[in-house]
Amino acid sequence: MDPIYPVQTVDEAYHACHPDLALEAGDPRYIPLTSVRGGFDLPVTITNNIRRTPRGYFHQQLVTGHRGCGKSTELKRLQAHLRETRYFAVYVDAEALLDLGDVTYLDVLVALTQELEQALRGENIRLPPSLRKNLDQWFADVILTEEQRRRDVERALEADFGVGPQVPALARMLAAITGQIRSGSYRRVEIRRQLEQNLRVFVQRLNELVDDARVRLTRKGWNDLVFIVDGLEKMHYAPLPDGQSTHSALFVAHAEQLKSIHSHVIYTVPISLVFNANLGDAFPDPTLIIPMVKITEPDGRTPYEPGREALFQVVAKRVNVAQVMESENLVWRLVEASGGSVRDLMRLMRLACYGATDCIRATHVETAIRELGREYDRLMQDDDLDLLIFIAQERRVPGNERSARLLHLRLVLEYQDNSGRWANIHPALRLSPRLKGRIGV
Amino acid sequence: MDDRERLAHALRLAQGFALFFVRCNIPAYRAELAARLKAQLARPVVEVDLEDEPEVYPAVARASGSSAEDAVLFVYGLEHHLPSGDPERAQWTLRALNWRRAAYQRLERPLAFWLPEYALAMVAREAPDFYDWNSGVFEIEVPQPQREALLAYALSLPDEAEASLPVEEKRARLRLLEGLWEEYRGESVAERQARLQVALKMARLHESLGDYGQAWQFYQESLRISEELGDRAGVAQTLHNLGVLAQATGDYGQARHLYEESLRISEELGNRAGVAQTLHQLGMLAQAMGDYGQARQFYEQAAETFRALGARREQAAVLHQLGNLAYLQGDYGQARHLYEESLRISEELGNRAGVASLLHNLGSVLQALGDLAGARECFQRALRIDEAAFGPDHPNVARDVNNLGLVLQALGDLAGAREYFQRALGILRQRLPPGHPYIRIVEENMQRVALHE
Repeated sequence: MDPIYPVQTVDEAYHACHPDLALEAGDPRYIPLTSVRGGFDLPVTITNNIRRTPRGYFHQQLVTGHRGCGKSTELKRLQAHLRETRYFAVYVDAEALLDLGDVTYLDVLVALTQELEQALRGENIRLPPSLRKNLDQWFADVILTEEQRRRDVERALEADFGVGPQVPALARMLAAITGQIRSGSYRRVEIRRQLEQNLRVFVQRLNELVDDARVRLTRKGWNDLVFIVDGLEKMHYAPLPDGQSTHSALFVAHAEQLKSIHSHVIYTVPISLVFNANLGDAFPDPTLIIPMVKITEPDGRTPYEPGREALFQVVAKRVNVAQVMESENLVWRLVEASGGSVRDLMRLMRLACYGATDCIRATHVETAIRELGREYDRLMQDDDLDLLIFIAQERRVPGNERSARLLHLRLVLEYQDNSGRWANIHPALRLSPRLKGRIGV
Repeated sequence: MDDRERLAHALRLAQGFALFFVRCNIPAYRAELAARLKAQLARPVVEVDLEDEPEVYPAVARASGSSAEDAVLFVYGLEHHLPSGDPERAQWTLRALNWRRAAYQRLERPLAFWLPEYALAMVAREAPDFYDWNSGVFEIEVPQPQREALLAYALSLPDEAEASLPVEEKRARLRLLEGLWEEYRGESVAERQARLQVALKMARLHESLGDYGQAWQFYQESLRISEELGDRAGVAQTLHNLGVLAQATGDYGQARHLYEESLRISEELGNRAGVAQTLHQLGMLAQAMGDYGQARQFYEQAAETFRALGARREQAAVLHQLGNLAYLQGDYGQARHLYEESLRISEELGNRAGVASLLHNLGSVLQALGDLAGARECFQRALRIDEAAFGPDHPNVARDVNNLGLVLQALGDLAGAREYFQRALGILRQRLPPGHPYIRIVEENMQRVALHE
């Protein structure tokens, strides 16, 4: 049973604040943070862009933001919004389908195929049997060559008894392939090699499916098809020997392949790529960044009340502040300590619940803030210190790989408003004994 | 309110999925605290130890699947999947955590991962998406009395005794020391001295396991702490130890440099025993490099200093070494004379290990001189002493048994020889890591017998 928000007790407050769950579209706890996050409403912006794209062209958009900034919540809202405007939006959860420790563009394309097939079935749209069989047979030929060979004997037997080779259904075939890719088995390497060698045909077959689906969707009253690929920003970050990183290898070096699909696509990308100059060439539409909630002016000092108020409401929607908190001021204190990160605010609320019985008091809040400080201190390496001090002073992020790491770990937060973008170190870092005395307010 | 109570409260509150990390550096204390929490919580606790599991997620999922709906899972031993010596394996574990986090969420149980600081830092930095879902990181400090008791235990065995422990026991001790290494991080002199002792102990244990890279690293740590503490004697001793390690890895130039540096400090401090000890080691280095003349000089200086200091045990050891040198140069008469002198002192001192070792060498000389009966008697005496001192399964026993095998082989009793070699191999394979040079030596003896049979 869902509780009634805002909740009234400390125990319920703990359960109302989750650092690990994205809100589904329509959740009563949702607070629009658009205006305090640089002013754009992601669902509206992207839907408009898609609507304005001339027929025959595709809107292919990258979205990024810090881990835990509310990306998934926004993308789920986007899906709902697109569906309301009669766009058939297919939400692809890369985290659930792929091995984010080792992703290639090929895996992404296979995952899109799989999700599309499934979504169409859910919509009772039947693809023509010839098309299904084509794709299935093609996969069987390309991927299963080795296995087929091993089964030659078996097949001969079957032929003798008049049993034809059992071709698995397309859906099962696709699930089997993503399963193999995801499991990290040695077969993965082989599958990718085969796909890569036959890339042109693979993309052609995939697009045949997409083109057909779009026609059928239009007949059913949909405007068009849109893929929303969430979770790719969580892919493992590692520098590669050629000076690139796993991130740029996927999104810059293989942008053409990711864009080859005949459909509107929204990809989430790691925030570290924002500083990659080549990304703009690969994806000409500017990358949309979901920044942190602005809680101070760019000077890092002057409070920005609307932002603080919005985050206060994020708590107040969940928790009856007058009942659960000893004083309203404690919420303001937590808002400030969160740096404008919704996930950290949720975590701080949880941490403050520990040890509290009847209500959350100042001591619980201070302990929670100290504990968050300890956590961030653990993320920081000694050779990060100089760069962090620079960022705290300059409030901008130099575009290099080390900065990318700091953004990736949320040691540095990015903000945006009408005046532009700026950055600051996470307020929790100011508690670190290693930084104390080395930075100003 | 400390982290123990906060943890207990968090475990009471959590429903469905929640992710907690409990930093506890010392497994012995972890077990104590977990038992107390289990008794205190009004809900079932299921414990999963990952140490012997091939993979993390399946083990956790299995335990979760068979647990009550309101159970909490305590997951131990993640650090075994994050070995510092195997970055590839560690990376694999971390990636798997990161991309399977949604699968952990679907288990719908609160998960408390108990792990030491180094492993926690790895998870935080390298599996950031997984870590980011946590609802609390609790840092459990081991209380002072327990910590002191564990430190005393960890440092209680002398190095020589520790060197002959079974491999598993050494690894267990290393794990305790790793925990203490994380615990003793305070700035006070006492804390730093404890840390120094821990580093030295870890270095020696790694050294005796043949893990020279790790040993080197912890000697470097102890060098740094000794310097900070202004402990010059400690610096000299650690430089000496680093020299031994460099020598063991074949880096003779580096070894010589380290010994000379150590020697210089010991001389400045007027530490004659330290000087003699390093001279002894310089002799061994010269010997290893084939410069027997220089080796003899170093040994003779060392022997003379030890004699003057009345350090008879050390004097006997250097005489022993001089005997080895004579043996190497083919001067068996001189070798026999030196071994006998060293043996006399060792017997007087009641140094049984020394006596056994000398009997072993004396036996070899007698064998070379053609006195097979005398050799056999020496080896049998050595065997009796070692068996009495260490039990039947000690590497020293294996050495004696191997020698007896060699004598029997020379006497033409191949079947008897083979039996001895087999017994020696049985002991060594049990007590030493695979591929240890001793094992190879006995294996070669065995093959030679097989060839003649």
